[in-house]
Amino acid sequence: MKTYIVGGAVRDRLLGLPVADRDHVVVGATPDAMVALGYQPVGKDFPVFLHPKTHEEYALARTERKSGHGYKGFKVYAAPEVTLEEDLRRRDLTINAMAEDAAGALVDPYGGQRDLAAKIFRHVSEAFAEDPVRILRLARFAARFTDFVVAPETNALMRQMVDNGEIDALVPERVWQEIARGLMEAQPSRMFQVLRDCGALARLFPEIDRLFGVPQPPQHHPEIDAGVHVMLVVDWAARQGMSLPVRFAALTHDLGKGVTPPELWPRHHGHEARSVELVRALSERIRVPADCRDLAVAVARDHGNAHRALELRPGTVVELLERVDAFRRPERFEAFLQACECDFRGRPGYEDKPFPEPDYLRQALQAAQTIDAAEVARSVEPARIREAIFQARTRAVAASRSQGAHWEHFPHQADMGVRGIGPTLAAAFEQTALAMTAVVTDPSGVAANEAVDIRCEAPDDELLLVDWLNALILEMAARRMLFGRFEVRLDGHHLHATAWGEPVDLDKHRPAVEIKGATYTELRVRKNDAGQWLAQCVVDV
Amino acid sequence: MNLAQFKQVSEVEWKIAPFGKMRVPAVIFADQALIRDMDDKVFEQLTNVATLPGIVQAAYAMPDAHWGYGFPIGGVAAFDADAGGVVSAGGVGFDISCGVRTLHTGLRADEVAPLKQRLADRLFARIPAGVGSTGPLRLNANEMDAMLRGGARWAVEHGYGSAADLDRIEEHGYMAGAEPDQVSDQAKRRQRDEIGTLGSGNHYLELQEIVEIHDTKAADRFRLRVGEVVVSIHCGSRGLGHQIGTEFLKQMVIAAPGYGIELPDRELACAPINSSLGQAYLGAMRAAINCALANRQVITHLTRQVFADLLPGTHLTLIYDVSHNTCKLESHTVDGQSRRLYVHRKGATRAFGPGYPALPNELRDIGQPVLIGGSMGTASYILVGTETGMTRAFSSACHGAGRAMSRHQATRQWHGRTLMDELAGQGVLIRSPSLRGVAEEAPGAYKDVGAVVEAADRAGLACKVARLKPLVCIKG
Repeated sequence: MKTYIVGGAVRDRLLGLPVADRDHVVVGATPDAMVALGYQPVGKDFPVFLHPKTHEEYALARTERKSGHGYKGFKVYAAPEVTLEEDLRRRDLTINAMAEDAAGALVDPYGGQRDLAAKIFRHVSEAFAEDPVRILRLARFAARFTDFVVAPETNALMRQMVDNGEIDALVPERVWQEIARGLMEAQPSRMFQVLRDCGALARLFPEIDRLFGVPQPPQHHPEIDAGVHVMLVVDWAARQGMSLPVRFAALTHDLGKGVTPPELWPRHHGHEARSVELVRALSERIRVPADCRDLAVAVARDHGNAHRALELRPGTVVELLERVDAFRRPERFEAFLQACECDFRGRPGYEDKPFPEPDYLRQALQAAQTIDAAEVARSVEPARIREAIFQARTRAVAASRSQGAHWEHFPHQADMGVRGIGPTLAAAFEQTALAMTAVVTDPSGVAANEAVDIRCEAPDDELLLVDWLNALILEMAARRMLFGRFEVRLDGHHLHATAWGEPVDLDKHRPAVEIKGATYTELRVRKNDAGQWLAQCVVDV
Repeated sequence: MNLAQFKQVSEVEWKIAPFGKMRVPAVIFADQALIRDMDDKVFEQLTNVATLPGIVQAAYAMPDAHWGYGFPIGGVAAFDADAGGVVSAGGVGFDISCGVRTLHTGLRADEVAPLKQRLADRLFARIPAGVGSTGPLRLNANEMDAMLRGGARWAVEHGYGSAADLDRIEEHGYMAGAEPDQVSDQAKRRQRDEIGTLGSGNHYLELQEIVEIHDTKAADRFRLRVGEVVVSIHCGSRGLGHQIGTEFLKQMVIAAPGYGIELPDRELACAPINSSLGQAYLGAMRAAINCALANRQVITHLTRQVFADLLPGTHLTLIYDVSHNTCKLESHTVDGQSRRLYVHRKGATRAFGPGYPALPNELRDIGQPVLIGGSMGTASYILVGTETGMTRAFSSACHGAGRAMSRHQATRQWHGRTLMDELAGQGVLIRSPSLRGVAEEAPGAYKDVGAVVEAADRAGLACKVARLKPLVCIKG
């Protein structure tokens, strides 16, 4: 009887990597002999034993023969006459089919060392085709050994396994197991690339496969291709050492883009809702654990809202917090924000871009958490508790949001400069509107009696500021009103706002001057060094 | 401004030879003190104007030039449509066809003196002024379009004034080529009940006394006599003009790259005259000119009613009505050749000299009255167009004093109530709905209009005829 270290331990030692687990093969022994030596038998299908002291795995050398579809359909033959070479031959890749004897001598009958040096994944024999899990394993290895390539003949073999339906025999649990392990590797995108190259991705994850070739708007997605984007996102998550739920959420957040009707490309309006459906179906199919599934659903549904957080109304922010269950499960909310940040960073050139939204949402949660729900509940009748808590939280978020916001005037020879500063672009636009009202009268003296709805759009932020102010000027003039309170929501370069005010009252408001128009003079919309938004221009009076 | 950047052509003319992308030189008419005090932005803006396609001869700035939007205020530039020339919304300004008209009262200052308080109060009560004010009539869609086509003539047809007024208004009271269809619903909505309102800012209605005559021949022809009282009205096209300016400015900014126009400054946005956008703007802008003419005509009517009530038998006759924010197609002689040019005057007054065919018969041999408004409480002037002016800046002159300091500074320096008391002590009654507005418009916040007029006179742009001193000022 002779024992060898085999498989990953040999490979990793040759690669100079730390060796975690060592598997052993025993040649020339019987199960009874093993038990007699004190080994503990484990495993139902194969003769495998645990060493009495080290608890390392010792398997009897064996051959396997396929007897049906899938990885369960094997006939195992383990006997003292099975040689080491025969045992190694049933293994998947040449780099995994090497052994080392007790003296440290390498046994490498299938060129494992050569392929290791050349960084090639190559199947040992046609027996590779007998187990479709090997496709997933190879793909997972690609995510770990990021500079290895698949030998063309191995890829061809895998493609054949896909074509002849072997791949479809995989059991869901096993798929999830391999995918989950692959996601935790250094560069998960390589796993999906390998699966895609052999056609397996379309069979196992058609919803991911469909993303490739789907265009997105280049102004938000320089990489354009939705599949490329998702791969950048999972890789970013891996580089940041994110948890499995975050990585899974990163993988699935945009699934809905794969089913956008092509005539709507590159826009994907409403893709979040479609993503949710697909994430649920996928999770069901491969038995994704609840923690991964729930986070993935939340990220799929609300990643767009997280990116727009600075533009959302305070009430919408509270709704988002409630939907993500942030009040009861702050750790899930944190994972949600991490996944959303991976989504943002997973675009070429976005790695170092400012992304203040997660911090803003954390701050909003903090503000909303200051509301004592129990106390609010005591103060209102039962039917109104929910609404009252929601309103109180909304007010708290609104108050935190306007922190540091202010307006000012700056001089211009004939007219007046108006400048708004705020933590968000929308807040800065609100402040600029206040500054404009202040050209006419004291904004605090204008009662918020009537609400006026205002919408405009322009090709860029600066033109949008001028449009916003001019829309207000039009309403002030045509309605003979003054406005003292503003709420601005921005969606890209679309602005939707509410202005509250009252009719001009000469005695009360003492209006100084009528504003003719907002101009492009001294027009600037940008973020200042303190991270605050500034929006300004001169108004003609 | 640093005088070293100019070539001094004469005591009152300063030239900037083309550099960079300038297609023509830039010329400023001003004396040394005025040009030294001018904002550096005037230089920048004027040289920017000189880069625009199809500009002819030179970009000009009047003695009262100051920092405007794209064009300097006090800027004049002419474009040839056939040479790729452009029309610019910024080159006309937001308050399209803002202007001044002056009327004889036929009354002597000593006749008016005892009624000054009452006139001030009654005019202030009668003439809608300031934020949120509405005019005496509300226009439906048809009437709005009729007004936009007919200008002052529309007002006269509706009983506001007489046909005799029309001859004393540029374009005989209405601008041809107005296209109400090119005026947006928003602009019309803004104007619906603003006809016959002064507005605010530097707009006013003043009773003025003629205190000095500089040119007796022209003064006789204009029937100006020392000691007599005139009424001057300064206002424009109100919300409609502002809205048109705003909307077309944006459209031109967006469209400019498509026309291959490189904008050194977005406010300079323009479109080729021979383009659909250029034509649309001209149609809308002309409608706004008519709006301004109708507006001043209706205010004139309201003024006449107040005089008729307090001083029965008084007839207010129009001396002239000028607009100073316009773009008009005119014939000018360039290098000995007569050419049809689109002349932008942004804060500049047209000043046709003797013989110009468009002048009314009774003024054709003497030249056009050029009305220069002062600031609240300071002098105003009447000048006359000259023959030399026709060869200078396409028959253009200054339009007022021009601000010397910002509104911001003014409110820190003056207090509305104190200022009104001080001016009352000097015999000038101020009526205004806003004390802060009064402070912002303090006379000290403006340049010396006398120096501006003197420079225009010496530069031969227009010739001084009379000086007017304010008695009552209704401030918007």
